[in-house]
Amino acid sequence: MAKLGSLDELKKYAAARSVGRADKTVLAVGAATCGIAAGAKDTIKALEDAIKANGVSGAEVVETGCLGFCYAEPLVEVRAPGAVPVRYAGVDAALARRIIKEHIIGGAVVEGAILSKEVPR
Amino acid sequence: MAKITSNILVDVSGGKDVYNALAKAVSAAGLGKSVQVAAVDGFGVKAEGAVVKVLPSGGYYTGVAPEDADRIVQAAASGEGGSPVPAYTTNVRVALKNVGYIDPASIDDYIATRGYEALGGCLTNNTPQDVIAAVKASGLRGRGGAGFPTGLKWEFAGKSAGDKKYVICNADEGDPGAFMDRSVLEGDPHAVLEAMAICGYAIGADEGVIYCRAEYPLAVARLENAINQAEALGLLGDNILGTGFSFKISINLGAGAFVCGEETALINSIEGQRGEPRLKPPFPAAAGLWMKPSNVNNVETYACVRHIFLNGPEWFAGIGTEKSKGTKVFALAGKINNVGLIEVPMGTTLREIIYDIGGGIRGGKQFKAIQTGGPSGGCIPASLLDLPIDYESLASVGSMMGSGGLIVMDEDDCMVNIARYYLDFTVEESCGKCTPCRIGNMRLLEMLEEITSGKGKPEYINELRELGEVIKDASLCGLGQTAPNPVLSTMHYFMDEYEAHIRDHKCPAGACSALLKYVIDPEKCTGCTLCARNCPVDCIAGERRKTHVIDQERCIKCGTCMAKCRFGAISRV
Repeated sequence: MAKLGSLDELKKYAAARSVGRADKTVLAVGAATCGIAAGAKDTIKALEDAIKANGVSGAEVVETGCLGFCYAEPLVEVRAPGAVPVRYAGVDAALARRIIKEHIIGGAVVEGAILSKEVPR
Repeated sequence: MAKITSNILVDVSGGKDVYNALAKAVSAAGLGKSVQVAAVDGFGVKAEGAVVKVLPSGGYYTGVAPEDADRIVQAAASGEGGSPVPAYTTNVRVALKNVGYIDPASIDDYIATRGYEALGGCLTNNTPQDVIAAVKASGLRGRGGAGFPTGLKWEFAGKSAGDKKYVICNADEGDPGAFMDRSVLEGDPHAVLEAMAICGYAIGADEGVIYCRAEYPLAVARLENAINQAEALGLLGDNILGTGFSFKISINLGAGAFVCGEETALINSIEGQRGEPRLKPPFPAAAGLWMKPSNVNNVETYACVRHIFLNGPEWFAGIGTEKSKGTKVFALAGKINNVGLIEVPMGTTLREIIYDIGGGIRGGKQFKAIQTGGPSGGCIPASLLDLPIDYESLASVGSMMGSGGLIVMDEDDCMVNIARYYLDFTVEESCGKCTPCRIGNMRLLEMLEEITSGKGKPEYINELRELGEVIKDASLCGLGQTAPNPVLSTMHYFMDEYEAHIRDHKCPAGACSALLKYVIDPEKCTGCTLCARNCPVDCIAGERRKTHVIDQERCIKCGTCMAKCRFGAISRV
């Protein structure tokens, strides 16, 4: 990687990047120590397996830090392009598969698993 | 394949009328294949009546009546609808801005959120004096607990003469139940690195050390990864962004001594010496690591720094109270419904934190106290729930801000036992250098142990108070100076519990097992044998259909029998 030689180069580098992607739905999994202890690694694997098994091309799984809701781990935030994020609580492998099938493929939120409380960003 | 394109989320915590009306409207309009109605449990927004949120726009309808259903469904189907509503909780994010948002392993994610722009701006457009002036103007104070003004600290280190200086990050988070710093390091490691480099530029240091406890392996791994990425892009290392400023950061692992969170003990530990505090002065700003001028700040303090430069010191100073600016991250734990990590503006009341954000006490029980500041802090009773949280107000009620652990206690928690727990912790963690701390805290603990086992003497009340004050006055470092706080504050607010233990040999909360026993009411006992069969130590005797009796000598007071009895025949006295 080439080193950035000035503040302007840094700003150009930043302008060419964004958190998430305009063309893909991102499934952000809270994977701090606490999330991992609650099973986030299994959740990530289940999501990735389901994406592969269903041949979904428009979604990718990323790790993120602590989302702050210890009581609702493991947490998955679905960030679809142009949509407000939808947050799921207590995402085990079975729920992970449902999220891919019903939400990512079918467009329907998985009822009963949404953490609906607003949080500031 | 047909795909749902709009989702209508309905808060059904107040009833299902609106939900049913919306579901009916969707099927009546034949939109079942493109519009979904889903029930959720509250949005936490400031709104009256039934609330509905429409996806993907995220807009809200408030005060919704069943007859509004058709209109909402049509709007949702056409991809619009609703308007923004303010969230009920007023929490704003500064230190946690990126935590839970970006991928902590990706420097590109960080840079996309204006990462390293504050550093680049400082190096390119500001003198070190400008940088210090901005931090001073922001009013930022140390988030490790003591609340010393950060800008002033930087100024002292900047003015100290020396060819070599150090920037140190205190990541030795050790309070029981606290995980604010871990969350920042694991969720947004670059924010800390960037701030350390800014500090290095401000005070004239070219080297930074992060002292992180070894019990945080993921935080260490993410920091190492972040340092490598930043060096590869020329954002750390030699000649950063072509400005001629060089700054390197290394990580030093702490071996798990609580006292090493004290800045001079931490410095000793980095140097390979015993983790014992040094006499101050000289302060680290004058003679710190390797006796060179050093600036020590905690993780959360650093995490605030870049936002001061991105948004301006006035913006930061505009949040919070007169003397405590900005926000504070708290780890909310204990007997509360929504255990979690929160960030609130300084000045938020304990009541807002416990009931609005924390969702109230678990199991609908009675709130008794909230412990702030960990082993250095105190317990704050229900009468002070409207206290706004800032450094001064917490100190005025005998507690302290501390690093940000908030432990909520309910009616089942015995305050004498809580004080005993914290003393047990500080006795274990005292480094032993100062006699008042080493011996005095041990004596406090012994008295508390006697009180909680029913052997306390009336004179202990005065002895605890006197000894506590002496330990506070005569200890060298923050650990000893604050260790008696849990005892003194619980004695101040909950003296009745101390008296009940000492005078009546009773624990009002029913938490001290030595002071309680389980008894079976012969009137109510049906002789069903359920308690006897569930007793883990087989200490309940009795024939079928005859009254059972608990052998008090062998009973371990686990309470299983009381929980199992279907006739309410067993009580704790």
